[in-house]
Amino acid sequence: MANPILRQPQVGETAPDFTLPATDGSNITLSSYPKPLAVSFFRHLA
Amino acid sequence: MQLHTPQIQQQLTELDARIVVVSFAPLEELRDWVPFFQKHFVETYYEEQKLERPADFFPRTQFVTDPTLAAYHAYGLGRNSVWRVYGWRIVRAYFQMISRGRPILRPRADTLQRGGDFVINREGLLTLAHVGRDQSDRPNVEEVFAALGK
Repeated sequence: MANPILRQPQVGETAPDFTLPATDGSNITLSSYPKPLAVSFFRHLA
Repeated sequence: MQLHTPQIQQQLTELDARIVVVSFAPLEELRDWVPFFQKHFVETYYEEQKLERPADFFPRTQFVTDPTLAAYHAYGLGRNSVWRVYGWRIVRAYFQMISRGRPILRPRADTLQRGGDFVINREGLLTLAHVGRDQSDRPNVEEVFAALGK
């Protein structure tokens, strides 16, 4: 699986937006979600 | 796991802060995993510490899926190297987990996919952007709360 060339956003920059489905059936849109917010991207589930 | 202790939940409430956990597993798999995680990691902690069980272990947390990795990539989270993922530090960490009786599930997904931790303030700006060199490299709770308070 190829590793794309990616740029990591830096502190002070606007957080990239996303809309993703949640386990409770809702969709979470980051830009409209209450803040402050900690976003933790998991590796594979273990 | 630390973010789900009573003390941490209290601090989150005082800051009116929330947590979003992003997984690249399919939604149904994540729905199955959350109660597994709650039972074997969060409830175990409460039992060990003899704490009263709350009605909701994750009152300020949402679990979301990103199986296309679009959000992962937007945050610069590609694949890690085999050496960093399966190096001796990580093998030792897994042995420590096993010795504490924590169950280890057989991974069914890309074990090289990176994770990361970010904090976003009320203005939508990043106050923490942490991509660890390996899976044991995560910011500590103090760093996360310092960023939540900015």
